[in-house]
Amino acid sequence: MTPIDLVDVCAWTGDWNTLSVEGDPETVTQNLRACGVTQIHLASLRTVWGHNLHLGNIDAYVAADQSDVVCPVPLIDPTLATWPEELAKAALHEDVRLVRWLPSYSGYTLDDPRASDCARQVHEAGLSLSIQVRIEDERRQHPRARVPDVSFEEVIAFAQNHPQLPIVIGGAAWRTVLSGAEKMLAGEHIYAETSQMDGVDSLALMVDAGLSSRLLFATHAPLFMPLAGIARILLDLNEADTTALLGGNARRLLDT
Amino acid sequence: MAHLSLESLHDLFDPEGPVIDAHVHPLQNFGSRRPFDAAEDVRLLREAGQRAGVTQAILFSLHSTTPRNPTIEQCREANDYAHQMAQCSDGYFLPFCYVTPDEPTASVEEIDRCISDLRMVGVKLWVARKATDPGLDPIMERSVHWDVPVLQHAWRKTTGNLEGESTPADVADMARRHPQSRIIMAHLNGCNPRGIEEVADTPNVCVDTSGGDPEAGVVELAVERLGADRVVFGSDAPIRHFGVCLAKVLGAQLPSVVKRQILWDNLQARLPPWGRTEGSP
Repeated sequence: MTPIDLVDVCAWTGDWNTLSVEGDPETVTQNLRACGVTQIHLASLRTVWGHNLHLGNIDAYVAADQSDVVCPVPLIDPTLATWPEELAKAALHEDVRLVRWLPSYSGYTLDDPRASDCARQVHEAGLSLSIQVRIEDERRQHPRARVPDVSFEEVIAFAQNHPQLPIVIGGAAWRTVLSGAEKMLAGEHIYAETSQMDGVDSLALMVDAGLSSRLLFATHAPLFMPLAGIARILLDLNEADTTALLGGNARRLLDT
Repeated sequence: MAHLSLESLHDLFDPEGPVIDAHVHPLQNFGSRRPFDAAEDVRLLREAGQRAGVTQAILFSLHSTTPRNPTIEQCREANDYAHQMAQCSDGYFLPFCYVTPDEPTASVEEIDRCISDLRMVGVKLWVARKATDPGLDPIMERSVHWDVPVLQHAWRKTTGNLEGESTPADVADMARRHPQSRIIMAHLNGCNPRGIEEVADTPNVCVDTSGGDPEAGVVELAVERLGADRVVFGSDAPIRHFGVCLAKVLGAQLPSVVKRQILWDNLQARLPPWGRTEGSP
């Protein structure tokens, strides 16, 4: 019996505008633990649609204080005047390994100089940066609240300008990631999480393309079913790659 | 906390019985890998399904070039390919006949060929015309004649449907025009909670769980609004992953008996006698 470490690099707490979910931290944690998840990197959805993204971060901090498996993922908006204070707070919290940007929801692009300033500070703080390219498929968004994806190419270009900063691409589709595999591999610290990578043999093809060490398990719970996130890895890959994707890669990136 | 073993993690995906998938395409249509021939298509696709616990699957080809408005000749080619796959799959794939409302008379002849000669078990309609179009009426009438189900693609896209792409409301219209027909509306997650309401009062429509992301709570909502006997499991493989789609049902907060209905019983009950597995309801 081989024990397996599952590190979920993208889970959320809170509710969503088009999908009512059981998003309180206790339920999210309980549901993920029931699927064997051993470490949960948790961010708050509560203020994604607000004017100040940072206000919801308290939810993730409180959840982490109440659970030994939750690591808070503060959301940072580099266009908010107080991002340096929010980042400093994140850096002081011993369980924070990752901060996240939501460029499309916050309304900026990655060529904004404020984004580069913030990225430099994230690196100096010794943290990794998650850039969420999608939370919800635009085809199912509310018609009065449409938010397009961030372009994968834009993220790659940004990562190339910050080669020492570990960047996790969040919510990308597998064909996009596969077609950009060479560019990802050309950078030493570019990763992608797997929560929205669907399709027969999708993960196997990405592993074949050399991305095994760059893929990180994520569930996108409670918006998505946790089991779905595990299925695409567990059912298709050999034991070594399964172990790496489900937890090994994330431990190597986030625990050092 | 204690770590699960790999073996116990696999146990989470045990469907505790047979699983029939209502919605699968050949790799030749949408696959990430292009198979050499129908036999290789069967091998790769069946292996992927079996890894997830899918024991049987409805298969329909939309032609190797997947035109939105296929000619009847392209439909025939697609159906011949699906038939070839079924023939070398040891019963794993049960084919549906793909036709086009652009050519209703020829489509009726193709349905007759596919069901009478090739023993296909249903009819597939995609995006050539909306389900409200009268071009579908002869096709629906023929499906009633043969007593086979019709699987109709549907979606409610915020970004806008294709010109001939049906919404759930369009499917409900078709169901009311043909109350004797048995309709499987595709893509529960793509139809979203509004779409569920749009077919709620058409009892001859059930919905397949294929397509879209594995959002939480949607299968439960469909069961609540339509009833447990009007939801069938589907994946939309190879566009979607068999296991990811199966997880929508296995992970749903529903009694085991309801999951069994969704994974097997409900679709078996809608297939014609020559497509059913012996002993199924």
